[in-house]
Amino acid sequence: MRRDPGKLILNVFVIAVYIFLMAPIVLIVILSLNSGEFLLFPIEGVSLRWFGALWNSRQFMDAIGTSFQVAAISTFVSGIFGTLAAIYCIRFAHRMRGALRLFMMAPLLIPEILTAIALLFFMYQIGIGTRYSIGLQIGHIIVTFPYVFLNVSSALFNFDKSLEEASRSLGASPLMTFRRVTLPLIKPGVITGCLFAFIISFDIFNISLLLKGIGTTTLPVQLFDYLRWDFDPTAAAVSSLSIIMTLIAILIFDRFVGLRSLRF
Amino acid sequence: MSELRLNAVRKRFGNLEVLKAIDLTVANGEFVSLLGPSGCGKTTTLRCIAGFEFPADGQILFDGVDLTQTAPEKRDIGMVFQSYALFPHLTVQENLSFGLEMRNIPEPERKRRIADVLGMVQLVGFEERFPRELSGGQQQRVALARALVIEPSVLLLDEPLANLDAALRDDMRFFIRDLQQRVGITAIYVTHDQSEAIVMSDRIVVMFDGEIAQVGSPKEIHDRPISKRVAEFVGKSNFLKGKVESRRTDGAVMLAAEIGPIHATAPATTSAGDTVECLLRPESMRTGALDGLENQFPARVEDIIFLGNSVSVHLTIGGGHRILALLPADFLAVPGDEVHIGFSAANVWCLP
Repeated sequence: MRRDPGKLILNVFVIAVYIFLMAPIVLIVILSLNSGEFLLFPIEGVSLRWFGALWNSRQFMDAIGTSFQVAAISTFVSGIFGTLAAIYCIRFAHRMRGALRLFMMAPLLIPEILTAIALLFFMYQIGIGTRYSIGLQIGHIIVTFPYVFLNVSSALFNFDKSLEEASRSLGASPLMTFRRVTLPLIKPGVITGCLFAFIISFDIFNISLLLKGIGTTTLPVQLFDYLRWDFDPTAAAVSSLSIIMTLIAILIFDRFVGLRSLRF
Repeated sequence: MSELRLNAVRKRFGNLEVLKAIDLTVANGEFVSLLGPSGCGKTTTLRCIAGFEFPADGQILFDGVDLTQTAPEKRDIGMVFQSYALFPHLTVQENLSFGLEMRNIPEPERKRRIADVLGMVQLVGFEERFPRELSGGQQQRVALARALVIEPSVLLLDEPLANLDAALRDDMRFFIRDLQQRVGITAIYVTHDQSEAIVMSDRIVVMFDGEIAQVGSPKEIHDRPISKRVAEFVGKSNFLKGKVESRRTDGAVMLAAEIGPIHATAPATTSAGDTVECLLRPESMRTGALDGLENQFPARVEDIIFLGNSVSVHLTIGGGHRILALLPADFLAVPGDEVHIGFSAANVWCLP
């Protein structure tokens, strides 16, 4: 059998891309299993001691809890408002659509650090400051909102409106039509948007650094603080855990709503 | 099953008047086609009947009940869309069940009715398929079944055959017509395809520029059009100019036409001395045995196009006038041949 050189090049290229993308992740997981004292490669031996250290670290466990909570609330709020905003923008905004769309996406266009500083000033001006984590939560919602909005928008954009008319002609009220026809069909967009929102919220640093409430911190910020003074494999263990958490989030979505439904 | 009436229905989009006082009555069980070029208002008329658009003025009555401003879900209509609009996330069974669930029909009866209607559209065994797993023709039939299973009083069809290939389209015409007859449902069918309208309808409503140009049976529309525009839209046409010499009370007229004297038929409004334009359909011309045909002319064959089941022939008659004739496929002649053609007076129609 003759091998097609083009196909060979493609395969090599694809493998290279995969290595480029996956190597850091694999390396971090390997480093986290190091039995040595330092964050160095190659590792000295295999052990779970740094995961144990992580488990016993209150700061890290608290930070993980906070990150999880903030991400969950952000996903929920952005999921609902992002979806509603997308429906309004695509369906009802007519002439204002372009402007509204740009406005909704503004948090993506403005550097995150500016959003963070502006929000910080605002929180102090209204007298709340960083005494509570409310500023942090608002910041996360602002940044995650466009992801839901964009994904739902594109799902609505390709939506055949005659499906809704068919539903109406069959006797369904507008609300029933939304529940039984529109929502199930834009579900892939909503799910993808929420998934993005969760992962982004779990990951953002600038907003968390400036807006975290007194005595609370998110995982990326805690990691940053830790790495300034300590350079042991606990950091790698945290990163491994973070990767696992993200995977779990994807799996939960898959279980309950089905990434399979993304295939149409 | 019900009678549908439109009283002076008007609709405008911005400055554009898309419907200019449409009056129309559709009898119980009748199959009526709205025929016209795109932009003539036929789809808007249908959407007003369905309740997806609301007229600026006028009434829409179902069995005498004014439903002009009623939401579509409260109108008891069944609609078939050009894109079929089958719910992609539901199986055939669930698609058909949708309208029945909205009507709170209990499960056993839902099942029975779905089975009945699937039998009618010959799709038994396809219950668990998703729309994307069906061919275009099957999807079309599911769309029909979904509209019929709720037993609506009026069936609305918006160019349902436009997306099918030609052979299937021909089959589906008869299928839909036959189904409509068996169910006995009032049907309104929007199309821009004149042959579709002619084959399927009890009556055809020809629309131009937001107005009804003519309402009549397919034969009336085809043979006795009210204007040149209707004549041209409904089929291939030859137009002969002439002056009315004499007129009998039954509408038969003698014409001094460009191609010579011809016998023709005229509406009551035409009288002797008028200058008229007559419609002569290519398919009403004959060659060979011309006994009994009032009009007979020598003609020269210019060119012949073979169409399969017939031939399309360009002829010159009466000193250089080109006319088109549609003749049986066994017409054997070559360009340059001299032949005799004939057509009856009934087939020459003086446009009013």
